[in-house]
Amino acid sequence: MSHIHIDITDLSFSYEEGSRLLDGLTVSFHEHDAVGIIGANGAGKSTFLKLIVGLETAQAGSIRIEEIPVEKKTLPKIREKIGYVFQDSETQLFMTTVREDVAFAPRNYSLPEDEVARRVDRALDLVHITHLADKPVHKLSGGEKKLASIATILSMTPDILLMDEPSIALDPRNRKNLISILNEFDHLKLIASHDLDFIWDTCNRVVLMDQGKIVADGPAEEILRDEALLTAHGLELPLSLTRRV
Amino acid sequence: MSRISNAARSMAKLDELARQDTWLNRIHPLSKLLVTLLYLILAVSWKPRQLTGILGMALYPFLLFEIGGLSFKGALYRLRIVLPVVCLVGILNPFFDREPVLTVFGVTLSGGVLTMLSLMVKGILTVLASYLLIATTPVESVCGALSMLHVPGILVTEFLLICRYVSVLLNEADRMTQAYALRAPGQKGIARIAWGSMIGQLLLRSMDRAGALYQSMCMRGFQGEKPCFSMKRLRASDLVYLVIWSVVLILLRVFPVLELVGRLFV
Amino acid sequence: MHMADALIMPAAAGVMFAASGAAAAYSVYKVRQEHAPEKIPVMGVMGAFVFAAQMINFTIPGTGSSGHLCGGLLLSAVLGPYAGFLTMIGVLLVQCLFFADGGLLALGCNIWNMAFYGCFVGALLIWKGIMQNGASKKKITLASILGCVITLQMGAFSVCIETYLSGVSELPFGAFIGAMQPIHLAIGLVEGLITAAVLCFIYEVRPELLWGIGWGSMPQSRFSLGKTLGILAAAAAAVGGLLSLFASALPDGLEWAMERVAGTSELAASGSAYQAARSIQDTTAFLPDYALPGSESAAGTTVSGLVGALITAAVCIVIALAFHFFRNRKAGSGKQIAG
Repeated sequence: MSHIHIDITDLSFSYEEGSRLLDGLTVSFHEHDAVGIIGANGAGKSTFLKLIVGLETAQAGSIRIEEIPVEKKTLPKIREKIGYVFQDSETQLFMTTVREDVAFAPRNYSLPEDEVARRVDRALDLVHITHLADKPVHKLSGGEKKLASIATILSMTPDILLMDEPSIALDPRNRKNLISILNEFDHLKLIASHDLDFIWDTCNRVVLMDQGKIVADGPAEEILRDEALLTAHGLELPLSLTRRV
Repeated sequence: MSRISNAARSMAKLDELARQDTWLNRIHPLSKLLVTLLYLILAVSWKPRQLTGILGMALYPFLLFEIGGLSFKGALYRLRIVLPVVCLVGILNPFFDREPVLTVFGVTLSGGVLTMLSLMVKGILTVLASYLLIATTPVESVCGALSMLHVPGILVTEFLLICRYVSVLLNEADRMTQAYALRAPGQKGIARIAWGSMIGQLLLRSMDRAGALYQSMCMRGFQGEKPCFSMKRLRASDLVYLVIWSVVLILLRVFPVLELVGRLFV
Repeated sequence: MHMADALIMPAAAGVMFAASGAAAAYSVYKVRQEHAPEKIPVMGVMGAFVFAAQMINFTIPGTGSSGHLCGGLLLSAVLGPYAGFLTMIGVLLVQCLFFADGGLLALGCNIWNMAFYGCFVGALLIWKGIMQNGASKKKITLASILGCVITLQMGAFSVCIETYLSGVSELPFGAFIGAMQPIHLAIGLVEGLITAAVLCFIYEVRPELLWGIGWGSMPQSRFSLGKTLGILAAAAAAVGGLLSLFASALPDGLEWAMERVAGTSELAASGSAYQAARSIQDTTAFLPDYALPGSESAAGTTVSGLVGALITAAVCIVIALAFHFFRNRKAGSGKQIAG
């Protein structure tokens, strides 16, 4: 198996002329990285993730995933490798039951029905929601929906996991549950969030973004403890660290 | 309780029923769909005056409700929409058609009374029959059956998504009208000035949601029309169900069964 | 305007299913031609939207009552007539299955009466015609009101025809029409006003979402007004003709089918389907309808029939009670064992 990595060079993106949402990003991610993409609202975190999977198209720069450039004709191949968990579980889960939803991707990739069933069971098991398999989606709680969304992605057995604000609207218990599940997934993962406590618990590397630029990139230990840096870019120290200090 | 939350609730209730694990729920959706359609065609095909024939058709819903353990209460609740309309259409029949047709126990029934009664019985039976289908078959199974009947993938996937998002949008509409009502006490509905923005906002949000939904589907290999829900194979027992009911229903339609029973006594 | 199953005969239902099916097949073809997979989720969510929007009550100025939206024209003004039509089919199917609002067998009629007129006549003809040379709020209001009123009138008229031809009501056709049309004039007006308000709002905020806006500068599409009118007229004539053919020749299509299966008539070879149908009707008209020999009445309902119904009902109830009794006992004994 080839070495999993993402290489991004000089990436720029804007919705309309003049206002640059992302401005000349250059960064690489490697196999066992657990990267927290942090930044205040509007820093360009979500757009950055969407560019990586080709949901938006950059005006300049290049993205390569395992040496494959992200462009229109490579998208199906790239999207097989990358799982993307959206912020809103309600749009992520569009089938009627959890099992059907988790089976959606494997079925779309034309796997035989017994393999689909195996993948579904495994994905549900990974996020510990086997008991919810036949529950209709509209009856799940917010936390259950988030876990189910992750299962729908894990059933694709992705090499890379991207998550957009995963901790939003989770109660403490579900949050803890989600943290331990994410820590079990040891491939490359990128988590965009301004919930720094969550990043502290799940990531070993942090990329700090502000106004479309990367302003810091380094070990989570360093950046998340740097109060001056964080406040300068509209963030605050993780609560767990303030208490400890 | 508001109309909106009422609708959401009754849909959720049906969904819950359909997901129970009973033998009727386990029958293949295609068999149930075909039997339902055949039943509807046969029940409706009785001519207006053939009241006893129509009454005979009651056997199917009655038996299945009993065996399937479904309550008539939920089904009868649905009649509140159908019965008034049907009655309205039939209520004048006794005035227009006064020809005496039959005297039973000293009461003379005119053609109009017979046609009115048979229309109502038809109304009740057809509603019961469709209820039997949807109360024992979850949405995705209905979709599977439609696919097997070669209904185009666009329509089936769209139907599935409508069913999935009806509850989401009903909740949204409910919140919006509640927020409106809190700021406009004493109003019965939405005032004219807010008509456009109210529904318009809901529409824009729905379009945005659809956009996000498409992205999420693309990320999981969606390529357009391909059906992506489970389609069970027909088992022998499903075929038996289909064949037995078809035969029974056709017999009920061809032979005046009730009359034969009655003749033993009269 | 949703028709119940009880109001139609299988022949009418079949014809309307065929007509709506043809319109649906054509729409599927047109939507597929666009190669726009993103339309499918849009159709699904917008279908749910229309359903939710229909549940909202609006105060009608000057009256104490409230109205609500039906949605065919609104959907088409956003999605285009073809995707709009397919979406309405989904909405009607949901209403029919989950709310018993309109029957499963009558679905073909309901699709035709509500979705076809609203999407094809309302959007393809009226909306597109009015928007051809650029849009404005006035034009949108005019198109919405005109579209809703006209399509609802057509729908109401179709309901009358379908019910009348099915022969379930003794009500004279004129009286039926006289009751249906004025009511739907009022409903159409309200729906038109609501649709206009929504579309004007969209036009202000996000005009690019509206279908057929700003087409004035585009080359004339293949569908001219005249051609569209022609196609619609032909479709209406075909459906009307088929419907009346079935209704006059086959008051009971099933009877005809049974004759053919049973092989009791040698009419299959006697020429056109129409002739065959006609002669079958003539033959069967003299036969008592499924009555036993020596039965008292040819009308289909007899004293012995009613007595039979009573006895059968009694037997069924006894069996059901027994069933319940044993089921409860079984459940009870199950509990004892468990306990």
